[in-house]
Amino acid sequence: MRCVMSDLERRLRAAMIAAAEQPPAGLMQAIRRRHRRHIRRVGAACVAAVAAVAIAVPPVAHALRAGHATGGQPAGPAATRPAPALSSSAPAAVPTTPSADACQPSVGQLASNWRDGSLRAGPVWFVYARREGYVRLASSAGAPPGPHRGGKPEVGVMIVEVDYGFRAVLTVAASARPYFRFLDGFTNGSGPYPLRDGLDSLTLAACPRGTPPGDNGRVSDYYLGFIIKRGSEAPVAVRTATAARPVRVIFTCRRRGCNT
Amino acid sequence: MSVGDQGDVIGAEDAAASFEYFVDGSSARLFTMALLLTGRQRVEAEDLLQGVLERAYRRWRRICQNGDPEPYVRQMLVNASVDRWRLLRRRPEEPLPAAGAGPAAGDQASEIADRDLLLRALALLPAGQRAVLVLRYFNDLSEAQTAATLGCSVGSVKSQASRALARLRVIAGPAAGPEPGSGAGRGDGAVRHE
Repeated sequence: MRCVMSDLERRLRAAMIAAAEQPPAGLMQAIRRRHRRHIRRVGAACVAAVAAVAIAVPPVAHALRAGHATGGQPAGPAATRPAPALSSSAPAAVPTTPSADACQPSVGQLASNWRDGSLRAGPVWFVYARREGYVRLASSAGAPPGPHRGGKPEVGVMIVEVDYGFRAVLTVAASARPYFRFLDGFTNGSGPYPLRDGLDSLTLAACPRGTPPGDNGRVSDYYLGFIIKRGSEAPVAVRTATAARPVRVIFTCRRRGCNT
Repeated sequence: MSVGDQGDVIGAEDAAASFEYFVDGSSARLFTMALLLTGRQRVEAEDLLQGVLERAYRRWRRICQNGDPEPYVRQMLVNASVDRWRLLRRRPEEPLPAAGAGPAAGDQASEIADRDLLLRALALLPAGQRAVLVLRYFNDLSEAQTAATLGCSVGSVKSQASRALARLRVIAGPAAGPEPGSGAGRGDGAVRHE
């Protein structure tokens, strides 16, 4: 049941009813226009989200795959080193490259057949490089392509083994220095690594021959960090005291992300 | 009108047709409501109504499944107007122009001036109070229906309406002679802050 309206309520009601106006012309068209705009905005947001996922997933998936292929990250000393899952936006999570003269028999156990998929450059083993293709021996036929135009600097990391008793010096070819460097000590805080943070040359000194074998045999383990323009190929010379000529290898970072 | 009576599940074309039918039938009422909710700012009212109807269009089939879509759209309109008011509430209140002598009863020009004064006073109320008055006196909803639309209790509707009317009385005053029990004479033409 309704109460009796006061004078003010009656006046207010009359005023509201008298305020009635016709809706604007073309209301339906305006609604359709707005709807189309909304659809376009949502579509653009979806495309952006898909693009972001497409960019982010390959490196992460690869890092995860690499982790599974090696039976997970090495235990033990690796606990103090973050896993080599990397992305250019979070370089702080990348492990440190060992100092040149450190002797470390092992930082964790690889699969027993790790040598099968690895690329050998004298006493230096680029673990799973043969399988993954992130490092290959330089062929004599022509020079590798230069920096990829428009490629963004990408941080990569790989596991390298050096036979006991050897000291290997990795030197970036002069032509590749504008787009490729090694990273020695990932101490750049949370910011991205600029190329100038890297090194042209890196020495990996394995343990002496008499050192007891580690988890992966008579080799010293290293996480080797590097920064490279995505899509580029960089020649690197691997020199050891015993070899008369350096072995040349090509580091690559394909468009779908650096291999680790 | 009950678009939902056409069936629980309607196709895309049917939904578009039923939406157009709804807009044809309800747009005048909804536009006036938007005008009242925005304080008779025509451009903002158009924008508010278009935005609300576009959102309703997106989920039209679901809205229609619940029966008559108008209460739902009305609720969307009220919510959107309150949201908009929250965004703009830092805007200072504008004083009403001096009304001079009170309108005499029976004078048509005075009646129009009185309505205008009331609607401008309505525009100065907080969005919640304005929504209560619009739903109660323009949409002619009961206190319970108003409470359901606003998602609050009947007591809250009563108190909001009471405060809003008290403020209107202060601002607009009686049309002809003192209102019984109001205790407030005509204001001096400026908004008074309670």
